[in-house]
Amino acid sequence: MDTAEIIRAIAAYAGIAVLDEDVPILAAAHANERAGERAIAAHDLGEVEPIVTFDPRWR
Amino acid sequence: MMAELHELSIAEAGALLRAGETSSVELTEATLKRLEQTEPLVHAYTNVLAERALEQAAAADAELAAGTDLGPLHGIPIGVKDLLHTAGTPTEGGSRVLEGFVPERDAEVVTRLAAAGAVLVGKTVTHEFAYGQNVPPTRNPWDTSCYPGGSSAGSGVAVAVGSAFGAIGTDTGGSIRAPAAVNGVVGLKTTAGRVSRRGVMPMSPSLDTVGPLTRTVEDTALMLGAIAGGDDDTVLDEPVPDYAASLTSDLAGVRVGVERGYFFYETVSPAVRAAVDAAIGELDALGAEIVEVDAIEHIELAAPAGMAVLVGDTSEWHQRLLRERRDLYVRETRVMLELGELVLATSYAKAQRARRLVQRGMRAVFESGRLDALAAPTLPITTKPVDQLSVDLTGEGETALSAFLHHCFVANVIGIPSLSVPVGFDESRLPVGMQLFGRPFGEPALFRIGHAYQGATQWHEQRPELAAVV
Repeated sequence: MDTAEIIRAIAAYAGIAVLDEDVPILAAAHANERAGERAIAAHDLGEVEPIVTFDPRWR
Repeated sequence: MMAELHELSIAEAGALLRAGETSSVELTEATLKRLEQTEPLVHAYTNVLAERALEQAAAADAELAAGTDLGPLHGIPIGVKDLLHTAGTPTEGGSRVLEGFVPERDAEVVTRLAAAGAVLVGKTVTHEFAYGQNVPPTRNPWDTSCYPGGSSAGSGVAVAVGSAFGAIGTDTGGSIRAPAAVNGVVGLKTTAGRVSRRGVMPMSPSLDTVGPLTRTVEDTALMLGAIAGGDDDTVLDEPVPDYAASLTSDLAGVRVGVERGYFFYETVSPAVRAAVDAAIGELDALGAEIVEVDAIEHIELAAPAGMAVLVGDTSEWHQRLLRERRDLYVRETRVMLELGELVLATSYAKAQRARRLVQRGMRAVFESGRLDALAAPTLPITTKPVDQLSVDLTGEGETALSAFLHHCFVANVIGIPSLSVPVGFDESRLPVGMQLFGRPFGEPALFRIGHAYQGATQWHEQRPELAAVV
């Protein structure tokens, strides 16, 4: 399965029909996003509290 | 030579109003006249509310005459970005997707501006849902072939040309600071939770902020005083200080950090580097202590972490619209919305953790240097001709737009304030901005530094000539 097919498959699973003209740029953008994730994943995040935290106060 | 009414700052116009030397109606008429002159060239507004503005101005004059003074914005003509709901007035987010949408209720910020007696001149142009990368035909008044910044393009341009005394914008990754920098005006990205986001079309709840664009730092302080705070779920319960009280002329005891790696990397143009270095030198001359700081640990994660959160959150809000009105979006927006649907939940979760690492790195620099602010170029380059702005979503090679994000996104990713002030021009007389990052809710320190700088320099008094229409 090539990247374009993967993009179409994920998009179909998400319920969106991607235009043919969007597929190449979407595939490249997705690859860029995945590269960003790999840069993040190279760090040990196990003990790091996410920055958006639940505020339980009643307001 | 006496400045024309539309050239005055909010503070100056307010002083004339209270001295009985002008009226809100005169200020509004001057603003509308300037708007009529400049709109054919710059197109900063999507909807001008002339009749309503003149009615509000007349009411403001009557109130002031009766001794009711609602504060520094009373009777002052202001523009509001078309992402903020305005009851009874079209609010379309710069998109055909919401063509004809008229909210029933004002955004909280619009309510607060009205309570402060401000006159709403009109709705300013935004990039499509603050996402589209370019918005023809809005143009930069310093060179109308050039990019006006975004996404608060209309707000930046309106303030620069004098078709508003101040304007409201939103900043999710630099969307107030970029138009401020490239149009030669002041723009404030507020601390997350400082200003209500209720009634503002969202991108990402944890990255979005609302803030002012003005011609002076003093005016930004006055506007923030009017719009800060609130009791809805988008606002943190921090007291709102008297921002005007922070405006002093010297910087004795103030510590300003400078980081020479990330923020002065190779993309920073010689003209930007020279202007920002000169501005830092001016802060030194005003009594600030300039502190060269070490590299900010993990700052390189700000952009990838911010993007994962941004695209995921934004696509969530647009999920139904993308399916029902896909073909009405411009292509760049549509692709970004599609991208957000493909981001894995685990990527999103990792990004939220990475933001904490970036926050720790920035905090460590502020704490170890005992800093009040960190100075950096707002953008690494000045604006570019619109036809040279490549829209590259692939991340392969750096574009002007990705360079803009490089410098701005970190403030949104960790929620800190950042104030952009004009500090000079490049060889083509295109404006350069310097941003001052602050501690959370540290806006008063940024105002103090920016105001002192403007007291000693004249860059903020420069105006685009727009000779063809004046």
